Amino acid sequence: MDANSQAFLDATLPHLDAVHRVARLISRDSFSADDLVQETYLRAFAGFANHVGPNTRAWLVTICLNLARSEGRRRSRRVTEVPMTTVDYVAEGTDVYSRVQANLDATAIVDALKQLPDEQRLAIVLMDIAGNTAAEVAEMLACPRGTILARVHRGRRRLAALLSEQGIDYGVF
Amino acid sequence: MACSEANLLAFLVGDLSPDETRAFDGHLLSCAECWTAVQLDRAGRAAAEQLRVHAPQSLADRVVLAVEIAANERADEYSPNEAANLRLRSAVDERPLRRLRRRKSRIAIASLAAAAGLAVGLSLAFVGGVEPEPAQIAAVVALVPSPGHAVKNTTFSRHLVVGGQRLSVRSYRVDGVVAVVATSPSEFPMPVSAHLLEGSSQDAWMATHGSLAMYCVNRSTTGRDSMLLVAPMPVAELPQIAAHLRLI
Repeated sequence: MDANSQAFLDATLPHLDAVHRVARLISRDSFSADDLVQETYLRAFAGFANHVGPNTRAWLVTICLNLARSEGRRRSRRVTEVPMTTVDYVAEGTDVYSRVQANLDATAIVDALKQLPDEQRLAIVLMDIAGNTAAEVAEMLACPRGTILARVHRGRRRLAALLSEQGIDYGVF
Repeated sequence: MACSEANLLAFLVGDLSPDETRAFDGHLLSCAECWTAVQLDRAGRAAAEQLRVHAPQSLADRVVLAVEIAANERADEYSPNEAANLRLRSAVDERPLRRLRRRKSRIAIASLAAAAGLAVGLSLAFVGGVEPEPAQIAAVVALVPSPGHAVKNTTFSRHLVVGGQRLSVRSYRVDGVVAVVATSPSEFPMPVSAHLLEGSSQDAWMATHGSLAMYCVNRSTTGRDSMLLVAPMPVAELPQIAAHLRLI
């Protein structure tokens, strides 16, 4: 591998988790999510020489969002993956009961997220799941930071209420 | 402190000064609405954070390989020698090269069959009156998944020792089918049904196995790894695929 490719991977691979989380929750399935992640990295690689910002994670997530919005992604996609197993939301090492329960909870959370308005869901995905700050998300989505905070707050409240209806609480009721 | 969403958001995100935070804490004790809002916000955040999963290693492998391929393609575009080679090959046979260019954008990493599939494939390779193949060849053939076959627990590279021969195996998707590539420091034995390629400067052979085609280049004498490519496509197309993958 040449030095440029290695430099690119050194700078961007630490943020694969964040890109993967965003792609996973804005794509229709895990296969298209992985395609989106790969295309994000290929686009980023093509533009790496021009990347000057200090926040590589936000840069990658922005590319990912733009690609997801673009129908051109399907036409330009280089790679499709053979269908594999679904994503496991549970860390290894826990007992079987906990893993099953956590998987059920994760599925319920994803379902509840889907019921939120798009703007609230995206704000939560970018902040709480991908780990970006409100200021970074505001820049990605080109809107005021206060707007992002309001969307996240309203989305969290709605998410908690939806989960509570299913008997899934996170220690507050 | 007044009861407002602006204050609530500022409190939640930590924008308030220490004095303002203390004041809002006091407000929470007397305002059930704000208290509930804070609790719901924290519960929603905690729920969302349950989805902070790590990307699978297979995805990282896939990204790295895709970047490698993209870097190689970029190098091709800027290398005068490569450009000359492409023109030379184009003059000899333009049609396969055009096909190859179309594929270039579609070549993809694919998954390898599960270990159980290897065992099953190995056993299948030796039944039903099929001419027995060397174990190394049968092992690689068995790693080509059937069309539409979903594979679990995949990896993008695998190392095997079959028949005393060390193999490194990777797989790619080409035109919707999976091609498996094995490389080895030793030469691949030639199946009975194979034929040597005339005019080749290297010890190369081709063969078919049912719907699968095999293309092998043995070059251990040159110090380079030997290569075996297996895919469910016309055997004549395999050299171009191998060239594109920089295997030959």
